[in-house]
Amino acid sequence: MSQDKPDKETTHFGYQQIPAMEKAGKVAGVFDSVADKYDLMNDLLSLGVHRWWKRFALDLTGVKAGQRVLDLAGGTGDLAGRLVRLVGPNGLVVLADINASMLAEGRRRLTDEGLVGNIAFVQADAEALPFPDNTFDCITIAFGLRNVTHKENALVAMQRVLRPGGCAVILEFSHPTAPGLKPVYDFYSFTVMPLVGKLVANDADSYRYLAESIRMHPDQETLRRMMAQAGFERCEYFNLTGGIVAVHRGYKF
Amino acid sequence: MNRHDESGQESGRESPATPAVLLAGGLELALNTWLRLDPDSLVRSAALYGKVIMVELVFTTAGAAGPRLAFYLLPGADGIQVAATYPDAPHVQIRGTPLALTNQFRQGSGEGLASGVEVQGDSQVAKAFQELLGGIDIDWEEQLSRLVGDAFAHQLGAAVREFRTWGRQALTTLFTNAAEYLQQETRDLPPSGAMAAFLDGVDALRSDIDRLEARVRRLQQRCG
Repeated sequence: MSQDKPDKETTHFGYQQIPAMEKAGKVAGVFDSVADKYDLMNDLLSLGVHRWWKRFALDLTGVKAGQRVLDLAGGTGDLAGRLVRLVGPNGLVVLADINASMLAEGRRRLTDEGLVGNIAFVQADAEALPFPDNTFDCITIAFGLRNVTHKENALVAMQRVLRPGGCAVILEFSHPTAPGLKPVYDFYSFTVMPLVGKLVANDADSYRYLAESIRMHPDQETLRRMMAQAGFERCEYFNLTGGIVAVHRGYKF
Repeated sequence: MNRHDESGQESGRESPATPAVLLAGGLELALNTWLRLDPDSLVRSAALYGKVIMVELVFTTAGAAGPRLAFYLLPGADGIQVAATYPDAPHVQIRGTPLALTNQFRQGSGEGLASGVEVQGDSQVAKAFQELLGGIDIDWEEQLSRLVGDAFAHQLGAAVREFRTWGRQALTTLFTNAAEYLQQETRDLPPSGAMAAFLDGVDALRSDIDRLEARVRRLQQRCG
């Protein structure tokens, strides 16, 4: 798990080792670059399957009317848009993202869809959440945790702002477990993904980083243990599409 | 989808059923594509924001109630969100066979419940939901004009209307001619006037028998 507990000076940025303080800036550069084409690229690269992954994750949240939900690294608002409907007019969804470009894209998109009133937008670092303890009934983070510099700090912060009885649901790329899937997946992510990134968004490097960052992300079991160490209870995970993606869920009691 | 808990063991407990989640996605796509063809329906959908409607499909096998499949519908300004699960009680539950529910949602709101449909919960929400789906009125000419332009869509619309009028007239003529042939040429069927006279005769005979029966009964009472 060395990649998740980097030494004080360096951390990983894809396959590169860089000073830890530079990671947030470099990740911001990647997302500034892809923000306006992020949804289109997601559809292209996952062949639309990312919508199903998000549906599974939402079903695991158990969010209902009147609750408060934090959608961390919410980006362009895919998950938040659906959460708004689940919490209803008396609930609240807070869409938080460290990246201003992604947050602006999310706000523009959700406002265009008429989703206003019970949604708030906050630019925040997942490692230092600007909310009081025990604030949210549920926290979701979809495809965001692997870009956080110190994941363990983010998990502790999430556990702190979660209300007792609430759960955190983490949707993230993971490590394929289905037999024979890994070589196909490697070819796809290191050859096809940068190529599509270059053709559609004219930005192969950002998509190469995305592929590399997925490989450096802790595997299913490691992330489950990290959640338990951060104070979550009843931690479990669900493999989707042969383990290419996993949904982790942990409760605070 | 495999679930792994703290013991590292796989189990299916609490995991959302994969086919139900996929079906919910498909249903949502179909419903919203349909709703967006009639912009007025989105206004009615927005008015239901905050309400949760459970629609349960009951599949009958050999006349007995079989498997059930429930969807939770959450209407809003941009359409209807469909979920496979919802952790709280819905505002209204509507259940029936797929055919019964199709009939229910195709009819207008004032026609009551179709046969085999059961509604539990807030009837106002059920009524508004019925109005939302039953009131969808798609202007096909408008939809077509977006693809091929106003002029051609109008011409095509006029042609379709003309064809429908002609079809209706042709059908009426066909029925009239067929009736005349069977009644007057082959004489397999009686003319409608003769049939009416015959039925009037049957009615008169029934009334006469009823009267006769009453008179006989009265005479029996007098003699007995």
